[in-house]
This record gives sequence, C-alpha cells and structure tokens, in this order.
Amino acid sequence: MVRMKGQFMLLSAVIVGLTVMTVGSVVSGIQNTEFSPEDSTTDAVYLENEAEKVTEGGPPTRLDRENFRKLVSNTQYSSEVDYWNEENCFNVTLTRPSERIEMTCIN
Amino acid sequence: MVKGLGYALEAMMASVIVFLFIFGAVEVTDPEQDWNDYQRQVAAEDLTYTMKESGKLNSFLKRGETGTLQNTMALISDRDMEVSGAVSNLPISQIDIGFFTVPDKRVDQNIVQVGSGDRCNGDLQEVEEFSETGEIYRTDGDLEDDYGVRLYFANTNPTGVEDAEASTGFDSLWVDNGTECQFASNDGPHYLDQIFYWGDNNTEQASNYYEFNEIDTGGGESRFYRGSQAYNISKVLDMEINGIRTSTHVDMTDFEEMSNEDYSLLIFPERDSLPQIDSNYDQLISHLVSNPVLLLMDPQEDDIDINPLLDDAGLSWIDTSYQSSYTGGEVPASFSSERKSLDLRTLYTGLNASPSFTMVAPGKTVSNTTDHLESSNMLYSPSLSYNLSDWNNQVDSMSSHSNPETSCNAFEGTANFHDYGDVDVLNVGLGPDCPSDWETRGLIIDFEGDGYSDNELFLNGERVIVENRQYAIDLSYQSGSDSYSDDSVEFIALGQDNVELMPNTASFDGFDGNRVAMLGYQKPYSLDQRKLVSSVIYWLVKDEVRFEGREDPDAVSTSVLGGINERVYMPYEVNLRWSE
Repeated sequence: MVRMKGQFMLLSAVIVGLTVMTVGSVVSGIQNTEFSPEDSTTDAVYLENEAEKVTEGGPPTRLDRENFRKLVSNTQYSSEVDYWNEENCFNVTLTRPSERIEMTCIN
Repeated sequence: MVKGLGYALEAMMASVIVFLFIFGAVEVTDPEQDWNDYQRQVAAEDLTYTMKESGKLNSFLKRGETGTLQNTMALISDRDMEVSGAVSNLPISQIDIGFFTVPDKRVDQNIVQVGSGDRCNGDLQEVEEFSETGEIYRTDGDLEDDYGVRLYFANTNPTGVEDAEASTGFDSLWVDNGTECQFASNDGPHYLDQIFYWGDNNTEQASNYYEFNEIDTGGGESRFYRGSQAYNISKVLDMEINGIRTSTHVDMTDFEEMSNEDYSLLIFPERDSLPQIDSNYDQLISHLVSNPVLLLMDPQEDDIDINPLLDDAGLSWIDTSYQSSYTGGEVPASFSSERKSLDLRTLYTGLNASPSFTMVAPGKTVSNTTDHLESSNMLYSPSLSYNLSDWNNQVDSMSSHSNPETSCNAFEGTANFHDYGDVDVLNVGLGPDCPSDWETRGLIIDFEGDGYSDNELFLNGERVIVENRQYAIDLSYQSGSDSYSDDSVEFIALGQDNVELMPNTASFDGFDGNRVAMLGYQKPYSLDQRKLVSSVIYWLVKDEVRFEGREDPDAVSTSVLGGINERVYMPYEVNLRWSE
C-alpha cells in the first residue's frame, strides 16, 4: 500500500512537471510572437507617405510611377501597384503567405 | 513504518529531480528583459520614423552624410543607441575613377632649372613663397610653344609631412599662360595627380587639360597625361544629381598605377585601349572581379574576337547593314521600359539632362544576352535599325523528292544560312488529303547531312536558331509570283533590330565579374552626352553604401522606405541595425 502511494506521488510529480513544461513553452511562444512590432505597419505607413510625395505635385511622370513601383517591390511582400489616373493615387496590394494588406487610393 | 517513510522520501527525491530537470530544460526568460527588448524595438522604430518624416534623413542622404545620421540617432536616443546599416539605390558612395590614358596621350617634356638668363629669373615670388628648397624648374619642350605657356615647378611639400618622399620631391607646378611671370590663384600651385588647364587665350578651353603625372629633376624630364575628356566628364560628376551631392574623384591612370590604386571604376577611352587591356588582362580581371569597367570606344568587328575582355564579356558584332545610309556619328537615343534602363534614365534625369538627346553608336557591337544574336534595348536608337533582312534566306524552285514518310508531295532544296553555309531542307505536304496549302505543309532541316528521317518537323511560323541567329520559317513564301507554290520556303531573320547604344553585361566567360558597359566614343562629348556618361558611371558602381557603428549591432533592426523627389522620384531603402 505504501509502495503504491510512493509510486502515485512519483507519477504526480511527472505530470506536474510536464504541465509546467507545456505552460513554459506556451509562455515563451507568446513572448516571441506578441512582443515584436509588426513590420507591415511601418512599411504601409512609409508607402503611404511616399505615395503622397510622388503625387503631391500633380500626376507623376511614367518614370516616377515606375520608381514608386520599384520602392514597393523593396518590401518583403509580393506586391501589386496600380496608378489610378482619375484620382491621382495608387492602389497597392501587399501579400505574403499569412498576410494581405490592401491600400486603396493612397496619395 | 520506516519502510513507508523510505518510499515517501524516494518519491520526494524523484519529484525534486523532475522539477530540477524541468527548470533546467525550459528557458524561462526574464519578463523585464523581454519588455526592454520590446521597448527598444519600438524606440528604434519611432526614432527611425521620426528621422524620416522630419526630413532629416533625406537631408543627410542628399549630402551623403551617413556619419551624421549615426551621430543624430545616438544623440536623440537618451540611451545612446547606435546604428549600423546600409543605404541602397542612391549614388552617395565615394567613387574613385581610374581614367586610363592611352600611350599617345602620355606626354614627356624636358625641364631645366631656372637660372640667370631666364626671362623670369628673380621674378617668381609667387612660386618662391611656396618652394621649400628655393630651386625652381621650368618646361623646355615643344608643348610650351604649342600652348603659348611655360610651366614652373617647385618642391612645396604640400602635406607638410616630414618624410623623404614628401620633402624631397618636386610636387607642384604653376602655369605662366602668357602673363610673363605673374600668376593668378588659378595658375597654381597644381599638385601631382591633379588636372590643370594648359593653354592661353588662343588655345581651345575644352581640350587642353593635363594631369601632372611625374617629374624627374635629375633626369630633366616631366610627364603629363592628357585628360581633357576626363576633366570635362568630372565637371558633370561634380554636379548634384537630383539634389544629391555626390563624391567622385577622377585620376588619369595606367596599368602600372592601377597596381597601386584601388579604383571603384575603370574607364578605358578609345579603341587604342584594347591592346593595353590585352597585354594586362590578368590585372584587369582582378579589378573586374569586384568593380565595374566602362569602355568609351568604337571597336571594329575583329576586336570583338581578338580582345579577351570583349570576347569574355560575350559582346558580339551584328554584321549586317543599316536600314538607312548611316555611316557613323550621332543618332537619336532613347531609354526603354526595362528596369535597368529606367534606373539609368532616373540618374540621367536627375542630372537635369535633356530627354531628347543623341549618342554615337559603338560600331555594331551588341550585348548579345539572348540565345541568339540581337541587340539589347537598354539604351538604343529609335530611328536607326540593323537590316536583319540581309540574313533572310529564300529557297525556291525546289526539286521533287520522294518521301516514304508521307503520301503527299515533297520538295528538296538547299538553304544557305549566313555564317553557317548550305543545309538541305525538305518541304513536305501533310494530312490525308494533301491539300495544296502552305498551312498543311511542314519543313525538315537536315543539319547533320544524314537524311531527313531523324530530324524534327517544323510547321509554318515556327522558329529555328542557326549559328546564333533566330529565323522564322515562312512556308507561305511566294517566289516572285502572285500564286503560291509548294516548292519554296523562306527563313526570316528575327530579333531586336534597333541599334544598341550601350552594350553591357554582368556575365563573363570563365570568371565571376562585376559589370562592363560600352558607349561610343566622341571627342568632345556634348553636355547631355557627358551627363549620360556620368549616369552610366553611377549606374555601374554598386549603389549600396554601408556604415558601421563602434558596437556590434544586436537583434533590433529597422528599415526605411523612402525617396528623394526633386527632378525625378528616386526611391531608396535604408536598413538599420541598432546596438546599445
């Protein structure tokens, strides 16, 4: 009876230990994922500001539009850039496997 | 009882061991430390954004001051955060250009010491004030008569360094351009390796610039490298490009000097450079492995095969006529929509150059970057084309040929491909009904001369590459009559036919190299042409500038997407890594 009690305590200790390990790894994961500012936010803000810069003097030249397209391609995303002539603005779509950002008519 | 206590102790010990194991295996990080990392990342993002949106970042980049960027970041971060990083796509790197001097542009002039009897003896106070030794030499050569000027030399030790080389060598010259021993501030001193104007009011301003290369007072000789072309280009390089202040230096050089200098870019002007490249090819490759080369010349067809650089760069010669009666000289030039052409056009526009300009073609040299011979359109002439139809090849009045593979008629003839020679071809009918229609015919080409049975069947409009040239097969060809007949075929040469004005490549046979570009040679280049040459220089030199802080950067990093919008919108990217 006493021997079984000791084994039960040993088993309990193992279960508690595994639980602590699981909780620990989850907490580590949360620390790694939640406490990192998102790159996408800053990229989007920079692109909006640059779109304003390119269009503020009126419709940009074809060369300027192509150079803005080159800027967008420097992000870590697959990108699609369309210039909207009537509104003098850009529609920009940034995508990567887990994320999609659509910026409509930025200028 | 004792036994039970023993088991209980055993269980407690086991628990302690398991817990020790757990805490050893799981890395429980300090929450406060992680919060600091997060704060530092946010702080770095904020500082970066503030620097960008305040316009300070653009100001620093336009002045090429990455050091100021570092200092400002450290200053405004109350925790002395320091940055290392890289700036991409802006022409702000220090560019040291070696401008090769062909042998016949290297000029030796005799020199003699100024003594009694010289016209300016005792009247050279401006020179004597600089001279350390009091000795003054002057030219005594033929160019003195040609340019109407006399050069005076002194040992001035301009650096003030007290070493043997600095204090004993003659290092400075003054130009007496007819003012009879009077010197204005721009007459000197000009130091070794500097370019100066050698002439007076009667000589042409744009074409009389020389680099003071060497002087040997003991041997009574001085040496100068003619550098008018280099000087005129360097004046454009001194201009701001899209509001950006660049940092360039042009040095007239030869292969001996190249072995001691580390140039960002080498320029070889004129076709006479090619034998020099040939003789010093290993040295050139050692430069080309990591740095670019610009050729300003009009090579001839044989040069492409003979010169190892042109050969290894894969440049080729389009040996066909022009579609017009062009015999050389300037032609209208244009950029294309290729990305690298847009990059070059951005630089060109940034120099406030005219969108409508002309350039000279570098002979019939082409980049030859496809699997068949054709020109590239990175920089091309929209109004001048190669006559590729010279390579077209018509075969008509072919002979009837029995073909066991088909029940339709077949005709055999001989095609003659340019640079390849004769090849037997078989025009065969297809289909069960054998209609007399070019759409139901095929062509077999017997390249190996071993019969038609094992060769591919081409249909009308399909393409074939023969001796590095691409042809379309036209089975509808009508040989001089209005009615179609089954016994003829035409091979139509294909390819980009606009004359290429800047052959270029980054691919070399036998080694990994940087970039080579070629522009036609003109003396002198117009202002817009010099702006084009300058744009090509900026384009060739790698456009990423790295700067390092004192500390090794840690995991915190930020990046900026921005642009300088003046004459043209010029995008850039700045990547920063932070340390504390």
